[in-house]
Amino acid sequence: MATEKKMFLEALRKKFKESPEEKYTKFYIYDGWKQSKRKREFVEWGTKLAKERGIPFYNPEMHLGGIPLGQRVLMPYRLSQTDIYCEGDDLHFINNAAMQQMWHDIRRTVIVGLDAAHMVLQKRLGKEVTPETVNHYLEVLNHALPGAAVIQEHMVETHPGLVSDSYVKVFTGDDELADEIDKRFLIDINKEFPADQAAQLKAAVGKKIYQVLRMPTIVAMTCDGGTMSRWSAMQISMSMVNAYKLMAGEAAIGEFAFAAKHAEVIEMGTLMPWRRARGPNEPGGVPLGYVADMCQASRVKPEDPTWVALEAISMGAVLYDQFWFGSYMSGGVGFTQYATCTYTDNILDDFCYYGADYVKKKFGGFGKAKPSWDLIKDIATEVSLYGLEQYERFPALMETHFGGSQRAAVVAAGAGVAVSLATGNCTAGINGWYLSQLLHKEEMGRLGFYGYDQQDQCGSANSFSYRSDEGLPFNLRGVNYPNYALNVGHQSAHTGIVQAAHSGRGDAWTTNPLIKIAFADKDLKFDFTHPRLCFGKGALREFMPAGERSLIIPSR
Amino acid sequence: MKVPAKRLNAGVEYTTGFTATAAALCYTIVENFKVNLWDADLVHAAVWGRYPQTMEPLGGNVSSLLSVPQQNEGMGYALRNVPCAHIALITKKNAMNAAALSSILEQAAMFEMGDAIGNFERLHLLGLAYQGLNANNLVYDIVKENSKTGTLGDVAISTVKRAIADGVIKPLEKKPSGYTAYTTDDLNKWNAYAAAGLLAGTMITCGSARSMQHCPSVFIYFNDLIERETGLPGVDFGRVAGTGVEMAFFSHSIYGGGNPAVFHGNHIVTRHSKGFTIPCVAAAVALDAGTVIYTPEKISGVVGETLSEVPELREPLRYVNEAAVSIHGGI
Amino acid sequence: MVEYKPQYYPGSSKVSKNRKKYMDPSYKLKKLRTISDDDLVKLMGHRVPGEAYKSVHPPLEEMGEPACPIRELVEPTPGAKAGDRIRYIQFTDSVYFTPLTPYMRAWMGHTRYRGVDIGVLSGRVPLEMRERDLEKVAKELVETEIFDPARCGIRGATVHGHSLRLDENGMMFDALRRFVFDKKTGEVVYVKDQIGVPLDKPISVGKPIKEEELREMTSEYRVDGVPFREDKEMVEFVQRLHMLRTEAGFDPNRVKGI
Repeated sequence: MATEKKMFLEALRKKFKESPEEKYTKFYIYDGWKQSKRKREFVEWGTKLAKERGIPFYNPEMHLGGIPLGQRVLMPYRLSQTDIYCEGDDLHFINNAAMQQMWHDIRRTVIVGLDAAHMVLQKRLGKEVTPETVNHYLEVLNHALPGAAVIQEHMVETHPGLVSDSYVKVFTGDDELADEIDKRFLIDINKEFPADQAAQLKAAVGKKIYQVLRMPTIVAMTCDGGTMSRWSAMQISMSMVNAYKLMAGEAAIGEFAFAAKHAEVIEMGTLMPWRRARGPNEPGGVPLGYVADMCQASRVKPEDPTWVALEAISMGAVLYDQFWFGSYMSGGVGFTQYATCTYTDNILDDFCYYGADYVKKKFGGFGKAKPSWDLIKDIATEVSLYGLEQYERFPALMETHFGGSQRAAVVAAGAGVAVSLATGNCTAGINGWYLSQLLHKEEMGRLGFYGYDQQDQCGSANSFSYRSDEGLPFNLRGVNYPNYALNVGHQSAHTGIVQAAHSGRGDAWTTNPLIKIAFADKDLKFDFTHPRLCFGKGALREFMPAGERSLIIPSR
Repeated sequence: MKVPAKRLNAGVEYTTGFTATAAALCYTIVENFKVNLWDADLVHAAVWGRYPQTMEPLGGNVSSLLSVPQQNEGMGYALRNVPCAHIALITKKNAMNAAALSSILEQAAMFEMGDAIGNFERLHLLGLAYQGLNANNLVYDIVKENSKTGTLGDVAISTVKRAIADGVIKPLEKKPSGYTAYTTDDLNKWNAYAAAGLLAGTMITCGSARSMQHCPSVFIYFNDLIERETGLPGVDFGRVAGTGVEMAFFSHSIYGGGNPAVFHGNHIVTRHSKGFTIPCVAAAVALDAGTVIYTPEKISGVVGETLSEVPELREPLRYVNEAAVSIHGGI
Repeated sequence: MVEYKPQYYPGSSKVSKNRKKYMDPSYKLKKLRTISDDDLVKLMGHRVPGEAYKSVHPPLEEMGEPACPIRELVEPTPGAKAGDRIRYIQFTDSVYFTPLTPYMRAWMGHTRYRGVDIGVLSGRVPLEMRERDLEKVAKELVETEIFDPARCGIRGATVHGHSLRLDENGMMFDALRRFVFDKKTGEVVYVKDQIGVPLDKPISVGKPIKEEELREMTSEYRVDGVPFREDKEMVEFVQRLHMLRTEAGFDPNRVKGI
């Protein structure tokens, strides 16, 4: 993509009426919140509901003692590399059902290996395991997993209309076995992935067979992440008892439970210590590389690794910045605009493609150069200064990313992604990010919010450290990695730095092939192949999520 | 309460001091006051608080310097979980001793965490010596030099001057602008000098204001200034500056919680620097004249008061010095 | 002790030299305007002019201090001696050629003033001190060349504006409209204090500095002014610092003579 085009200009022209190069504008003339369709809607609802509930409610006149929002332009946002424009409010996760569903689809997923259970059946219980019995078991489990009884009398059950998004599928690297699995239950690696990626994935999985279980969204919404593997383990074990006609109380059953609850389970996130205490399958425990693998952009457009990284970044932004830091950790209304800067208005896209072009021209393609100081200095400096200069050249761009944390994240992301693309080494990529932050601080003489650059000051020293609680391959770091546990506006792009290193060199996955395959599933509600488009649909209120309760509540 | 040393040495867990004491207290009360079957649970609640429904003895009446292991941020963090309020009160608000006690705990923790091993052991030992124990009177000299009118910037310059005079750093290259970039053949020692300067800078800034809240600003900007003065990395190679950034945020904003007296090294805000930040926080807390509502006395309660009765804790500089003299040449 | 001339800041460009100049306490900042003591007190809004300073603790002499060699050495500031509360002044600096960037406020503040607590964000810099000490420092910060009435703002809250385009009078955006441009006098006038409480009488902080002058005075690198990439010494300075920090994190013993 020709960088001379400046990908962000079109959005800037829609956001502001002046030319993007214009340094002067007018303020205080926009009629406050009334300039925004969404705020007008909020006021209408707030007024109506205040009357209904008898307690004062949403009232923008409370803002700043009567000076409402909207003293300047309340600008719209474009979902990057889509034609969707929306208001900022539409990107708050509370207002966006697609964002909620992305998180619920992640949280409600558990992967459980099936081979250990088959060994118990064959060695301890003398049962025969064939593709037919596996298909039968999967049919039983598809009945049981959403919340139905399989071996007990007089049980209460869940309404199928509330839990229809819950199911189990399997995948294997063994083509012969896959051929014999009922297609309704199979995630077909050959069908979902390009041939070269499928070959890599099948080699990694081998002859093993794994179950991918989706708990109901309504469970993900009302219980916590720790519920998921317990829910799945209980239904797995009971379905085994049913499908293979076992005695429910014999000791061998304990081995099923152990396999299903512990030994064969892959949770999406691990638990966290006391001060951030959350159980498994909460955003803070999901490593960067897992998020990159959940994103499925790499299998639909492998020829454009920069785009792939940008799609992964948008998922990291919503999961880590909007859900985790913005809500779980900080409380309050959240950090939406720290995150949206990475996936709106084609700004980060412009910086990343600039870096990608620079890498292609200078190093002959992606993943072709070894990490070195000369390379990191060269690429990270060039992309960082390019990004900073765009803000200075286009005042409308500076105004769009009005907070320094936004600019710092986007500039450093461009640098980090470019180094990753060049080297195929995401630790070198993150080191490039840290150089970018130091350059930014010195160039602008300002950086992010009060605590923004904690990890960026520690980051140079810690990026290649192998000491106790500093060293860790970058793919496996996440927001529970000590330096990263406080800083909004970082991990979004870190997801893309991981992704870029791998998609640049044509890898089918970044960290865990099982996760990559588990999310190659068209029956998921959220579209993990095009997260930004899907968030846009959520913003336009065109996305239909799961977890509706309309069946069990009065109609409006 | 002192728990028999044999009992502690025979175990592998540091909570024995707490558990043995709490249990013994319960049994003593039950026996001495002939508490019956129906009421003994109330004695347990009075001693152990809401434990074991809670992880820690919430609301109980036994406290110890170290917190329960579940509260540790990671492996080996036990000694880092001592609030600076405790440190300041144990050392009777003597800033040099507060820094020394804190530095001993923090740097000892570096061994327990697995950080002060191999290539990094000397880094931490020199840090303890120069920052924590005032080796060669470096901290005191720099404070003295700037005691009447010096700013944080002056302290940074004093530190650089001393490092040059002692041959720790030397010019590398003169740039066209006239700026001289420095280098070193002993980065560990430069770090120790910078760490000593950082403590001196804290003492000048927080000491002149008689206020603890200034310390995170010192952690960031002492390092910024000394890096721009020399071209060499600041204390702990950016980690103290990073810790300062987050501590400034968390001690000054709605996202945070508390003044520096509640801070310790076992927290996600402050764990990033490996032993070089918290001694300065302890000194800052010791130097505060009463600018905060949650004072060290309110936070620390009886812990500081009680443990200040232990001479080695109250005056670590004196006792470490005496011990060092007694073993000099013997290792 | 060796003879040593402080360097303060590297770099070969006009901007880096400005940074160095402002950070060097031996350079006397040029006074450009006069703000009366009472007006400054009103702008900050912590006390009414003439009102006694409120105390957070008794004067040090009255309360006595713990035995500590550092307390014996370190001279407290007048405000600390008296037991003043710690209060703030906060500035917002536009990205358009203002004399100081946020980090410059911290670097300069810590080389020039004693006993300061300065925080830095992208769009605001809070400076906290004992109240009577603060008033002295604030005077220099507002009256001298490091303050431009139109592009710097004294703002306690709702600081939004540093990155926004300027208005038709060249003023930085201020949602609270604490300051306005008086077209008759050509001066910038505060009608609210830094937190946004209306003032009984407007306070003029003088005429905006002309852009061509700001371009000479600024400590901001900009691509349409002095581009950072052209100050190669600065670029290399940051790159080297990052490399040294990184290598030290891997193994501090490897860093020798580089």
